[in-house]
Amino acid sequence: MQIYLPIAEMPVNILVILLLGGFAGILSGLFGVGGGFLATPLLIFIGVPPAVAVSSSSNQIIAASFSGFLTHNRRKGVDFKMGFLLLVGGFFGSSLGVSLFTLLQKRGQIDLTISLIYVFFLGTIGTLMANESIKAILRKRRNLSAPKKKKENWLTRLNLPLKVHFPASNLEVSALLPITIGIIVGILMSLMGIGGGLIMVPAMIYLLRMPTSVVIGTSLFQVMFTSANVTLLQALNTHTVDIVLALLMLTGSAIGAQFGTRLGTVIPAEYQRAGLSFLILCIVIRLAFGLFVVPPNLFEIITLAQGM
Amino acid sequence: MLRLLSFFLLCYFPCIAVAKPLVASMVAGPSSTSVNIDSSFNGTELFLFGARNDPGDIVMVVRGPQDAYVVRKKARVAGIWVNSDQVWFKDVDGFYAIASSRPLKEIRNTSLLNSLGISIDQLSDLLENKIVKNVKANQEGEFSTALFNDKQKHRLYPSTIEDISFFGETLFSAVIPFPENIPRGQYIAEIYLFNSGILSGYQSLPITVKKVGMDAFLFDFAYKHSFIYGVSAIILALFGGWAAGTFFRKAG
Repeated sequence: MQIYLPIAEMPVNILVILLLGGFAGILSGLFGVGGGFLATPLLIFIGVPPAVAVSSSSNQIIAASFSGFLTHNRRKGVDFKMGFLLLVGGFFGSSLGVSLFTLLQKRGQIDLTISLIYVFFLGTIGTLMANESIKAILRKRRNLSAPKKKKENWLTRLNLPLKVHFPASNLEVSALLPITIGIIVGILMSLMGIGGGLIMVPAMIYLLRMPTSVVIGTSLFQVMFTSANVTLLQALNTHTVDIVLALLMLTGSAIGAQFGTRLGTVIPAEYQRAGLSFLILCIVIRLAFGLFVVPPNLFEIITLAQGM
Repeated sequence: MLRLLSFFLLCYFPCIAVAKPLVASMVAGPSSTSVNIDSSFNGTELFLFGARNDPGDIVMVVRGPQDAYVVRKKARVAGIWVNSDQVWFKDVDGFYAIASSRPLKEIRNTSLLNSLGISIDQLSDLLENKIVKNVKANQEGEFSTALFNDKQKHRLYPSTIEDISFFGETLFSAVIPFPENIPRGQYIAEIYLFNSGILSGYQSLPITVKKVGMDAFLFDFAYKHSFIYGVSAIILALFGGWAAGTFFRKAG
């Protein structure tokens, strides 16, 4: 069954979009990520114009993250204090990122920058995460007792000002940490067009040393607001939010997020981290491949004006 | 005097005998002057029909609204493929289709057909004339070929000439396929009558491709009331997320 999308200006198969959204939603509930990093490329693959894919993905991410957030919140899995500080940084960072995005777009180098950033950041995160989680899994298998969970790392040992107590995470760290992380994630979000959870979740686990039980809920809390911000900005500036496409996707992803959240409670934390790192590394390899291998089409054609 | 009169009559009569009555050599029209895109749109066909009063072949060109494009070529810089040379095109027809009642070669006026743009082979060369800016590009021809190939791939530019069928001696009809992603805007159908290589009839018809119904409403809303549209999109998403959560909670 087909439907013609008003903004994308093309017909799509309803079932395909629902499944696409559902899959992104499962990842969302399971890992606390927005799912955008998967949904957006998949939409582009089926022929949706990239700008419409990014904006409409941001729209549906709101639904999936809100759905997952509500479930996590019911289980007391959200650190609102930390989330708020991350959010403050996030708004500053995403505004900065949007200006950077526009500048690169004018120079025609936006795709390359995005790919390089993805490869660098995700590559680092994925490798570190894979390393840590595999070690944790092996340790459990050999029935070795886990080393005392370090509440400190090199960052927290830096005597930074503005120390705040976060009861939900049982941490006491400088407020500057989440704000700075929020800013960096915000910039990356605007450049990569994703919900930010993919950077946020590892940052929370490894940099802030938050317990896994609150990481996902807090990440979803932040993703909700920032993707709402992106959706509004895109609707105002580029008019590329296709509400019909977003509605179809969010029907699938909101349901998928519910499944993902429940799945997350069953699977042990270190397997979740291993799974996420594996997914990240697959994406990184695919992107690096795209950068170094001769592209199938040497020419890129962009439509500039749209006849009204 | 009589000789002078008969001389004039002699000159005049052949003219009267040869002069034809004032009738158009050909008339044509579309089945509908507008193509409506609604939520169930998945491509369509444009029907053009008409009648010829003089012998000859019918050739048609349908052109779509004009757009601007930038074509970028990738080059290898330090092992990585990067966008390098760029060429800007302006006033490029968004859609192009050619139909003919007879293979174009047999019309026997290739130079006129080419200058009118009625030739698939010439199309990518004609695109070169629409180049307005160029950054570091050496061979502009490969950029216009790339643009042409891309358009052809999306079935917006022709790979073959469509058929024009005759019913009896005078009636003719043509079917132009419109793919599902045709651009909105003003199209023009130009119909020519060629008789032994000589252009003896012409008509142009405007055709509008526009959105109707819910699609048109949403599109206009997105552009004219962007803020409310954006906020509505967010609220709908929040509602969707909440609804899924509540539904699943009840289900267990």
